[in-house]
Amino acid sequence: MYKLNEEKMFFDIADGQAVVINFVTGMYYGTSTLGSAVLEKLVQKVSSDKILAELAAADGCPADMGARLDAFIKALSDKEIIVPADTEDREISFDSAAFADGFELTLDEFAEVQDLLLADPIHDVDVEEGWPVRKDDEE
Amino acid sequence: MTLSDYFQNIDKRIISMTGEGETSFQIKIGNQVIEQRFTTEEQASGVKKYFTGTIQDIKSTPDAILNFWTDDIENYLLPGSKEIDAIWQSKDDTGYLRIIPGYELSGTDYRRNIFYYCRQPESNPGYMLYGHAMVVMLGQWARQNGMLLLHSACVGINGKGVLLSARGGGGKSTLAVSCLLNGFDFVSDDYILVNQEGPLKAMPLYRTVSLNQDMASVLNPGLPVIRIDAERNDKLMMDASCYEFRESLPVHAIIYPNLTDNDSPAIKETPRGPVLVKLIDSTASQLGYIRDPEAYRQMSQRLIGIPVYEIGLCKDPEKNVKCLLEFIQKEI
Repeated sequence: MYKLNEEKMFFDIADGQAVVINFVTGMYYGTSTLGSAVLEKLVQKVSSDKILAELAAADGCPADMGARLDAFIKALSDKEIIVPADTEDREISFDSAAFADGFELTLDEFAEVQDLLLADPIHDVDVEEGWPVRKDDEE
Repeated sequence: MTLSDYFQNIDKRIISMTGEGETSFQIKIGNQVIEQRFTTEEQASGVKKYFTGTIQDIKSTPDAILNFWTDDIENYLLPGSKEIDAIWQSKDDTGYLRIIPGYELSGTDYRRNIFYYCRQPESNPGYMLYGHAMVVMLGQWARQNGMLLLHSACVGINGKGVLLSARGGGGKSTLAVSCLLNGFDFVSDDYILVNQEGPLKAMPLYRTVSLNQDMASVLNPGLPVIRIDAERNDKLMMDASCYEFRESLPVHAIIYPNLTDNDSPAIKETPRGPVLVKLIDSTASQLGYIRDPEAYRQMSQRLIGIPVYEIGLCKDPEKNVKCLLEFIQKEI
């Protein structure tokens, strides 16, 4: 069903945690623990139906797991991390460590440098006041 | 007010805080003279010993200056905004500044090629003394001066170099130091500079190497120990300036060392993605590039065309070195 988008992405999984780097844009992605295990299966071209069947068999699997998996796959597709591919039929199983943090399937996009520009200590400053004093503070 | 103006204000503050004694030294990397300035002699001497073999005995006009000091970061925050517990950043044509309240300030004056790193006094003094801040700032200097600093070893044979890239504990340093002791072309066992443009070349940052205690007793390098790193299982940092380091070595491949239980080592081609993620992510972690897409993009684009291999290491360093030597001679 899917494979890694090798035209744009580097992927690695170490100690159960997936790391994806878009080498065209430099964007860096991480996933939840279960998300890492699911992504590893997806890039091995395992079908989403087979993944869902394995997840559903796990103790404590929430009833909406199918919707969660669909949303996770959509997020991965939207970010062009995975692209459609032929399915490869292979047996899979999830290690118990994959459920260490529960059944959350999340994809995080890290761009702190762009997102956390909360204040600009230089360009909001009144030069006449010398050492940084924000214009707002004078009013 | 530009960032360059702001940094000139900071210069005055640093000068007023600088103590007696030898608080600065100059090193030469490639054809660049870099002056490292501290406000205490203790910090300067703590970092200077890592640069054995690259110290400039006679000071000259530096091409770049790195400033390191400790101060209450609150002094650099805006009045009325001190309650904001977040990263502040600023960038214009003259420079870049990043402040993490209660922790650190780092910045670059592009116009004057001056780099700044200030640490909150009570937050991990070892960070300044043991060269971590120095590596972060040299990473900034490299990006600003047509190079990249990478967390990777580099060795070679007959002028053909390979990067040895793995996360800590992967056998990278042991293999690299074994190569040094066996007469390979040698650039570094942990950090290298590479050019941003043109055929990829690796350059050394300093003339020290590191080994864990077990491998030091096996390899017995006979090198003077500069420091025993208690934070890294008493790893030994040693002065290797008695060996010749290659000032520039063309890079033909990236090799990922992987410890195995096999009796013999073997080298095979391997998918590039996982190896490059390890190299790039490890560099980003060491140099504070985490979540900086431009740094990830620059490193990715620089490394993407280089062939990638895995060497399955056995427990015998001599066999590993011989395997790597034959591979570089015959396959690259």
